[in-house]
Amino acid sequence: MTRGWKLALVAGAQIVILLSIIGVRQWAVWTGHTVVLKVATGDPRSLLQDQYPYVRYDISQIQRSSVRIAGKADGEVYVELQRGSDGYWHAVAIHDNGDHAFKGTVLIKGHALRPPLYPTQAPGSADVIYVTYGIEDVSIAQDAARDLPADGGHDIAVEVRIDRFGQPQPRRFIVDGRAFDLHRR
Amino acid sequence: MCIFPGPAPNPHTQRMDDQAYRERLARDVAAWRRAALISGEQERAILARIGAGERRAVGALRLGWLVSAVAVIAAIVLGAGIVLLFAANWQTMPGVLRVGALCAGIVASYGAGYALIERYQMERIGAALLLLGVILYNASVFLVAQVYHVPVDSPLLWLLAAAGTLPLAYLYASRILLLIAIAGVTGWVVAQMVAWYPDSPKSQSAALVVGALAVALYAVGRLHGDRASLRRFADVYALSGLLVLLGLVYVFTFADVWDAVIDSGVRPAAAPPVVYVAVGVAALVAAAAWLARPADPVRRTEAAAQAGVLALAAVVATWPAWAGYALVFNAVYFALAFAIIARGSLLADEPYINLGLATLAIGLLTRYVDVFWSRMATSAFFIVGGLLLFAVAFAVERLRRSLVREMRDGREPPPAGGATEAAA
Repeated sequence: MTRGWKLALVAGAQIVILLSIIGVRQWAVWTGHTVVLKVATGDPRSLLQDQYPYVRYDISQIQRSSVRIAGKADGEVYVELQRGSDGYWHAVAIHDNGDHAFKGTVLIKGHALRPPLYPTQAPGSADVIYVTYGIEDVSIAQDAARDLPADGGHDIAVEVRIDRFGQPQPRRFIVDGRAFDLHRR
Repeated sequence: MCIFPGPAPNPHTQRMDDQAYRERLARDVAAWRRAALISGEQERAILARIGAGERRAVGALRLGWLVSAVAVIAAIVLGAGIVLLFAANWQTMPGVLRVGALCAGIVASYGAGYALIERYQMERIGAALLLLGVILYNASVFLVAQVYHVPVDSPLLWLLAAAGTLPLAYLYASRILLLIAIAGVTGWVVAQMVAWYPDSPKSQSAALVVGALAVALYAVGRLHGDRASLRRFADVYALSGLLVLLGLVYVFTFADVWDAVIDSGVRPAAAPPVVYVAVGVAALVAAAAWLARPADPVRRTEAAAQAGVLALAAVVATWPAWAGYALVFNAVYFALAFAIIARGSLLADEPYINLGLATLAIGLLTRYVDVFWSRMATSAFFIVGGLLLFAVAFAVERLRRSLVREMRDGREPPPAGGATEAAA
């Protein structure tokens, strides 16, 4: 094999690698479960691109007493989500492996942090488990600013696809039932 | 003992090596002439021997490094410009166009580089275009991940970037591409440790995996040095390993790091298994490097030093909570600095001497700031520090000159008549 062919092979492999990144994520989108996660804020303008938001979901802070905990709830965890009567998905259990405790649930992978995170943390916060899912760096496109309500107190959520390994992929924002394009930093 | 299979000599590499040797020799003889080590007549005789007897040919040879430097800078600047262009317009471009344009850029860079190297014998500019292609590929991995909602801090991206770069480094015997690939592998290990142990007492011990990687890189460099066809990569691996190791040991010289470890309440033997696996793998690679030349005293000494570093890593992983480690790692840091200087001096290897001296200077400066910042008035701190730095610079320069002079004397004894006459 000549060096030209070897170079072509390497270039081809690099392009395959790039396409495989896309393919793997698209596969997750096509085959995953769709969940709707409620965002902790009620002000949609705080989620615009120019605000550099760090989105906090309802499932970002989980009360220990409100879920079943199987394992250490520290480091890599799987949070079991169940669809509530309000249409949003809520945490019902935390596992340190991919087991389900309930039927009809979906697992999302995250990282749990041990409280207290700061010495000044409020008393009683040790009951809270802080979890990040890698989908916090999302924002609403600046173009959508004129269509967003200017006040607070709105229902804001993010539609997320979760693949069978628990990897989430955010798809779009939903503000009072209306969809908005989502951007990732 | 041969560790690597022996590929046939690469004509391209051979051609580059010959050319690089001639250009380096042309620069060296000019320096020797300026230092009056050789006469003008001897300079011309040496240059004529490598086919550069004419003044213009000498000038052309000495300009080679400039072409390389300008071409590499051009590749970096152009690559940065293209990446910034894509990053700025990423949201407004259709997905297919984004990925298609990036892939086309990569293929075009490689195609142009290949044509310049193989058809027009313009190795320097062709190699810079290959570098441009690699810059675009590495940037594409992260840009594509960003747009398709893969977290850009995913460790896998570093690994994919390195995996795509490494074969090209070997195919074109490119040291700068190898350096990029090594940076990718190191980034992958660091990102993986951060991802696995983001905020727990295990985080500190997971840093030891990076130390094990550094030892393995150094040993891989030595194994490359044993094969003529891979020798040009030996120092890239070895110096990269040393830089990573020195960086890690430097961080561990601070008492605050160990105070934080103790405060975290970490218990003995709490390190994750990956630390011990990494130390074991690094020990195997170091042993392979030693067994490749068991009778070589330098290799034996290196193997002993590597074993010592890995043993220390295992001890720290097992019993991490001890305030005395700051002192131990200070000793290790300065011992490494002196060992690097000694190795460079013994083997007449100037880059190692310079690295060792830089390490020594940084270490001394850090300890000065560490100890005296809070104990002296600000003005006195700077005045005394400036004077001390002058003293250190003077001492280091004298040491460096004497080491380099010893190297030259040992390597190339001056001819009986000419040099003496020229010096006179």
